[in-house]
Amino acid sequence: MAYEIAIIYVISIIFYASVLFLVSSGLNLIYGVMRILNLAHGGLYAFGAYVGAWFIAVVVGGQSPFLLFLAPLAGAAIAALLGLFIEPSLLKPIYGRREEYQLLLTFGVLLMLEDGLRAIWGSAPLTARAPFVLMGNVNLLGYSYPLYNLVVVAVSLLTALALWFYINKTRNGVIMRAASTDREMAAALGVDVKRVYLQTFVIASFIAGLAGALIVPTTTAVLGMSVEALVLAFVVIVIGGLGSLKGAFFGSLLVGAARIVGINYFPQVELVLLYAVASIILITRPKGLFGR
Amino acid sequence: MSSQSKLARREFIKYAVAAGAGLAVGRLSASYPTAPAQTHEASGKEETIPEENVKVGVQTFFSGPGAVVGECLYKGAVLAAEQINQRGGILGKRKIEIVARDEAGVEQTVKEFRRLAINDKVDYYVGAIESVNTIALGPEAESLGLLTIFVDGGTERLFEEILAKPRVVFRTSNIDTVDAFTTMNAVAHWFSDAKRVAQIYPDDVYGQLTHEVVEASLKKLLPEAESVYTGWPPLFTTDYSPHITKLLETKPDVLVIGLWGGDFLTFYKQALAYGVFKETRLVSTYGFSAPPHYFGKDLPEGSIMGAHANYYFLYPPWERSERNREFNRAYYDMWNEYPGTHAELAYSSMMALVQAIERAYSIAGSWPDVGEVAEALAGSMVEAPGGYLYYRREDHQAVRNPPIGRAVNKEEWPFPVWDIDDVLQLPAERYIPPPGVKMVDWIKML
Repeated sequence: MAYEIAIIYVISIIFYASVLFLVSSGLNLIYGVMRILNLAHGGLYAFGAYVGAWFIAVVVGGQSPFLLFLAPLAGAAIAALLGLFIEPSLLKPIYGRREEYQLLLTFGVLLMLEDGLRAIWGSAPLTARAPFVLMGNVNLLGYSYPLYNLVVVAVSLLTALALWFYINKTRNGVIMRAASTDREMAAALGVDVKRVYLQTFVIASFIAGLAGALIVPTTTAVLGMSVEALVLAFVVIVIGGLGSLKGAFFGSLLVGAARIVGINYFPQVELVLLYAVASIILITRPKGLFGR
Repeated sequence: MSSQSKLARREFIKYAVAAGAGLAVGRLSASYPTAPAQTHEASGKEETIPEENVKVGVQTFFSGPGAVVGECLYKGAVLAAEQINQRGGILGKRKIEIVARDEAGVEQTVKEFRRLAINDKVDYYVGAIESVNTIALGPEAESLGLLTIFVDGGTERLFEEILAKPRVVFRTSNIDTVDAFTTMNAVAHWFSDAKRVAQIYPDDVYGQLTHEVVEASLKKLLPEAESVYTGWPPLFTTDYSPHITKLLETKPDVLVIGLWGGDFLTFYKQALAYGVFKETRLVSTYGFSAPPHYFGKDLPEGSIMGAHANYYFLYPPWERSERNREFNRAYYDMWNEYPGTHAELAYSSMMALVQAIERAYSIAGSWPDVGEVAEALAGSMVEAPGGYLYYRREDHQAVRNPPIGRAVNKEEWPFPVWDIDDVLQLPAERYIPPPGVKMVDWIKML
């Protein structure tokens, strides 16, 4: 294989991994702090994608190319608003209950979000490729590569950095980690745990919405994308370890790499490959690579 | 809806009624040399027609990328029901009521199918797109005794292995493998210099069968060409970049794509961004079965765009086929868009069903039971918008001459369309294997 094409493959891995990271990091953040496996996370991602596509097609409508780049923020903001509503009204009553309740409830919310999308935008897929097309291509070692994909990678990296900084270097982050390590002790020391939970949930929702709205110009917003994204995010989490941001980061890269290697050497088994990798990790390291 | 379009639709109903009457008494009923329905009405037997509505269960993809082709299936069925109801209903008496249900994964699809049959008590069923679903629904329909016309789900396994002697199950779309063979004949016709062929299929029943037939056709039709890469992305993939990179690496001169619905759209847009089509000519077995408005004028001109070997809205050309022109006009009036392949297939399935019920009534003299309708439908011919459809008596599979064309941008259309002056229409008797014969074996025999 020529080294030029190898580099294109590596960029493909990073591109795929960066979207996976955005989806799975939020899921991991919620689990890490709140100990809730939030199945509705995929729904927030899909909402971000629909809002992003709608923003590009309807609000901007070809008016100003500059406004197009607000689309990811629009998707993220709406998802965050949804999170702001979902956490106190629906999730709060089930804290401390058995996992079955959490799974049932968050799955119910996922279905409601899907139906919400159907009610607002109908069942036909939504496309909005303006930013993807407008940005055009760059020449990478003789191959043409869509510039927008590089923007997605950059935004994801920035988000990862910001998240890391927030959790490790800010006062709020310290409180968040304290609440995650020992909820009762943190509460006894005067930490408003309810607020921490709400904050965590809204941040995670924001990132999920951002991921959806960021990726939608390269693909299509369709009903069912929430479950697709959720399943992939779970694969990442199984590999990387539940509740660990580092796990989400390396898990995404590993999934992206496994996919490329699979498509290159065993294209017939692409469908099962990711699950095969996840199974091997589960058998050898049941808690994932960085699980706690 | 404007009064003008209402008027247009009413005018169309007149045509439909005329066409329906023509079918009932015309040459198409030649195989049933019995008196037409009117005779019984005249002799006072009309009381044998029940009063209540005829319920038709319609099942299709209302969500996911499958909705790109799924939604228009529903729209086509609704148009047919409305046209029949406007003329008074089946036999001028019984109105059609559509009960719509979602098609999803196999388990869910079967569950909804049973619900249609048992809870909703539908009289007939028209629907289904995915092969993996029709394989599961076929035996279910036979055991429930529900007269079922599959709009698509065209795997040859259904009538070859699973239901070799169907009683109440029919299928309107061509067998899936006809798609692949038609497409490869088009490649041999238009891209006869192809040397390096890459292929990308969805990892589903359709993809696997298509791949098998494409490989067999390559050997037969383009023995010089070599297959340089075959990719199998799972259904509903959102990012095709690894496959696209593989194409950049292997540099094929022809790329055969079996992706369908929204997946094809996502793929071609992404491949376009990587400049794949600068050197590679695009061939799609299924692409243009989606309604035309989904495509942008960035689709490379000259691409071979299969429409699932069934129906494309501009073919037969409107100036030659009044039936097709009127179907498109009525569909556009109702839905404000042009139909995809599955709209016509569902519409034609409904029309075939009504024609069979009316014919069975004219023979029995009373409202026919499922067996009588099935008997009338087997071996019948329908004048569909896309040309005559013949439901084979042996395996209940409908056949018609498969057409295929190439994309071109025309000023009068806001999307790319087939170059209608250059459509390849292949004779069914040569390109569709007879009942009981697999396509790969048929190709060897040719």
